[in-house]
Amino acid sequence: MLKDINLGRYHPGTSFLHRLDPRTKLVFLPVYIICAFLARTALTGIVALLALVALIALSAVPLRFMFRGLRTPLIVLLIADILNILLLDDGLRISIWLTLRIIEVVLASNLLTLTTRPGEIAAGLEKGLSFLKVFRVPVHDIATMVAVAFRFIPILTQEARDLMDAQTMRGADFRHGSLVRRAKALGPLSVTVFASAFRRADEMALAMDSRLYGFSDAPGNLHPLRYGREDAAAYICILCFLAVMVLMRTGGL
Amino acid sequence: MISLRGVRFRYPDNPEGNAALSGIDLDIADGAFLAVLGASGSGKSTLAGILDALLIPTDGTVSVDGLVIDSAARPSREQLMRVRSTVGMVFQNPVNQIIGDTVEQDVAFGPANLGLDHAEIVRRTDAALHTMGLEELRLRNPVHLSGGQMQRLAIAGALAMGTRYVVLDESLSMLDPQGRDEVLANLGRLNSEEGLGIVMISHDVRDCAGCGRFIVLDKGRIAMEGCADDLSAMKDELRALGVRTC
Repeated sequence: MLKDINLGRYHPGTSFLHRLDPRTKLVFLPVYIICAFLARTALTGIVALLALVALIALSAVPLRFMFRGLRTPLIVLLIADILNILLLDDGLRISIWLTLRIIEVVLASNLLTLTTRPGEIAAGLEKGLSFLKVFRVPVHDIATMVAVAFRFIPILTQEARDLMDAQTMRGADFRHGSLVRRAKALGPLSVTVFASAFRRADEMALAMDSRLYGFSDAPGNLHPLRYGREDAAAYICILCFLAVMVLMRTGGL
Repeated sequence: MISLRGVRFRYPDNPEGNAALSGIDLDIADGAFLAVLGASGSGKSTLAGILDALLIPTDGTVSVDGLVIDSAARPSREQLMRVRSTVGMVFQNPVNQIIGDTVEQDVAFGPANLGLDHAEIVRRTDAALHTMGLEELRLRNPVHLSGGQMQRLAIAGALAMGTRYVVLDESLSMLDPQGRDEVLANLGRLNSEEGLGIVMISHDVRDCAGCGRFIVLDKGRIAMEGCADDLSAMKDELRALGVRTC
């Protein structure tokens, strides 16, 4: 299950999506999620799905990376779908739409994280939310927290995997038995991972202090964000997609 | 020149216990290569924190290139900025000190925090990458580097801030022999060719290749000091103080 986590995993590349400014992709994600939930008919559902398939093809990210994060949501969805079908009159239709939308949301999120470095996402958030500085919101700190959190995910995942292997060698069983039994086996593991996360965070805070984090009111940037022509084209596509979906929804299609 | 006079440090969460450092007097000249040896708990990392102004002495004074950090007054933001951009620090665990998601972004983290303009950040980053031989790795994810490359990256990050001294706090202890040799060779070159002052903190004499002078800490005090040439003749005394000698 740990290897299914896609958050913070960037897949290097030079595709159109990789080249886009992170702000463009950060705008695309909520717009796509809104559109996915606007779809109510087979036609709109297919349009939303085709848009996503086209973007996945444009990203040039291998499908095994793209679909990696789907297993865990699908297990939860399966339980929800069974309950829907058993308890609701229109359960089958609701289940199909719910499953489709959640898959679309997960894949769209994967598109963002697999084609954008965590630092770029943070820089995009910082620049995009910079207007909040007027209200004294510590936007730079929030963006740094996001970047550090993204960076820690693969490290802590690997550490949890190593710990599981070490405990398995000493007789622990994380794969068999009831859900409760497996959850109990994970208890001591999570305590160790949390303790390690705090220790790492402490050391990183010292390293950041030593390199003067927070000392400048206007920290610089090695690669300042700049919109290009490709971003303009992408914004036009995003707006057109949103308009089409709204029109189809209001038109009853 | 870095000078410590009567430096004493006691951790706030241990007010009744022994002081981590007691009455340390120490001078580190420009371009010096000093080894600070000692067993675990002897006060080595506390001394490293004092040198980089991450810790402020409970008593005594620290002077870095004439800028005095006094135990009596809380240092100003400008003072801390000057000390930390003069004395860089490299920590033990290479993974936990990486902040950027590419090698070049990590090196640029310090200069960016200094509020420098874009051209200057680029210049300093390029120069530090060149000095540490990391140019070809500049777009790599630092997490995928070897231990030796990660510590070279950490040194590059310190150099990009314009530091004139680098303190390495047990920075070689997690490296394999190849990584250790790689970092030591780079440090030796930086010290002899660029005049970079180096403070190598370790519990292992093998990490001190190339140093000119050494001190040994024991229970927060300087228990021994001398020239690097004397180290081989002092094996028994060093072992008695918890220092690894072979």
